[in-house]
Amino acid sequence: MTLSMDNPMAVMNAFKSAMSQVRADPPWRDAARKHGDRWNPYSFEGGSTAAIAGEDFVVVGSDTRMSQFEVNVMFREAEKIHVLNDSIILTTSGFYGDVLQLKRVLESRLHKYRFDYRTDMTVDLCAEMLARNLYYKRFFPYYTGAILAGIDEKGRGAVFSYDPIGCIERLQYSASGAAEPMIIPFFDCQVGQVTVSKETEKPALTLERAISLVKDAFRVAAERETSTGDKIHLVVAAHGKPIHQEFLLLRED
Amino acid sequence: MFLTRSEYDRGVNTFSPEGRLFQVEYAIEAVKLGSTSIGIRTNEGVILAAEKRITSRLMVAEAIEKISKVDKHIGVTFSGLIADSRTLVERAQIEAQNYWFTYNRQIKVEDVTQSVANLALQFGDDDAKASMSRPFGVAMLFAGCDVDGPHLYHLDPSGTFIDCLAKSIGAASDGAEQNLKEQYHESMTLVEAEKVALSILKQVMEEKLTAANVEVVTITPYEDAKGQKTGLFTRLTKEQLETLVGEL
Repeated sequence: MTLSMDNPMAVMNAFKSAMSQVRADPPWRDAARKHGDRWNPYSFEGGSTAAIAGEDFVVVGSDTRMSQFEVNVMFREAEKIHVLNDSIILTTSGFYGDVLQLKRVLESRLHKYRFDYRTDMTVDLCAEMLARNLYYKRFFPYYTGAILAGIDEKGRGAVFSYDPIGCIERLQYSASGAAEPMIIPFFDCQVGQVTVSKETEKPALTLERAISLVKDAFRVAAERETSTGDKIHLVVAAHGKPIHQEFLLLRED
Repeated sequence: MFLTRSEYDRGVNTFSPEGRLFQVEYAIEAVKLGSTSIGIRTNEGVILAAEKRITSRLMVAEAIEKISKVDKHIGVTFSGLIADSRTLVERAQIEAQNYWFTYNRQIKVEDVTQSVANLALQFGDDDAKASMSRPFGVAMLFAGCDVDGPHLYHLDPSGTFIDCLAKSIGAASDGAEQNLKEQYHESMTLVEAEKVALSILKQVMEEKLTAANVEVVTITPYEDAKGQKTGLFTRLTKEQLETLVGEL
């Protein structure tokens, strides 16, 4: 339709409607931007966790920072390691709301198991149960990278790693969270020793070495990854011994 | 004796002044109308042997199942109202599958028995939430092998279950149990247990014991691919039964 200035009102109205259309759906907002602006049920509070299993021990570490958009530190003492019983340790990073919910679900299942079967659940059983619980929410998953660690039925250290929908894998070591891409290669080199040449001397994995490797991993991560920092939460479980916990300072910037 | 009972045997959950639940006691009596079953636990595994009552020669003997499979490693036999046993066996099967689904592990024999015992007590005359209006009129023998080795549990209509070395239920249970007490010994082999069970059944059964009117199941311990101790449910074939019966 052609408009002439003979009818200024029609021109004005046409301009107004074109303007409101552009405001409602600006052409510069591409598909990805439109998708990103929608309400999102998840958020991500950063932080990292890692675990190393040895012959009869397991070392679990995490930082305690809770941050928003990788820069805004909301809380410096957010615990990401949860000791579920004498032989099961859950450690998670991701959406902290889901982390707390997942911890509650596991705690209640462990509690009920004690009543139903008159014994404490072992980490082997808990690992399978966690996989089922995660997959149960296949289409609205817990947004968590979970690692389950503990001392298994045979008294060996165990680390189970999960994706958000319950794919389970038993590993010697694992890491999850923001600094996962930094910690995994470090462990590949120092624990798995897959990136060192055959001639290199390969030290055995003792409890002391595992502890210091976990500490080192988080010190490195805190240097380079902004959402990891404040404190290292270190949890050590050894066969036949009570679980030991400690906190070590990390950089706070 | 029945005079004193008359007032208090109507409600299923009303105690008599002497502290008895007559309907539950009657349910235990109902078990003694059923055919006889025997279970024996040995170090080599557990066996269950059950009598099949063929009341007419027009009945298809193979269609009667007196020993049911709960899972790969657990079997159960029952005496009393067979229709009631279906509900309980189904609960046991569901519970075993549920445990496997959640924990990827075979359930323990005791835990299956416990869950069925819980169901056995869920009766009442209010139709609000109780699924059963009267006690279940069946006793059961759960046999299986798990991480703790071979097990045999006896469950009665009151929901009580007992860990047994050998046990008999049904019409001739008293006589059979007397025989079991005399013949049972700790170092019994599985084959020996099969022979003992069948010879006792032969003695106490009203009909002549044949391969057609008896059922035998063995559950033997074995280690699965993951190194877990569990059991293997095996039903004796007609040929195996014929040889066993022939040897008696």
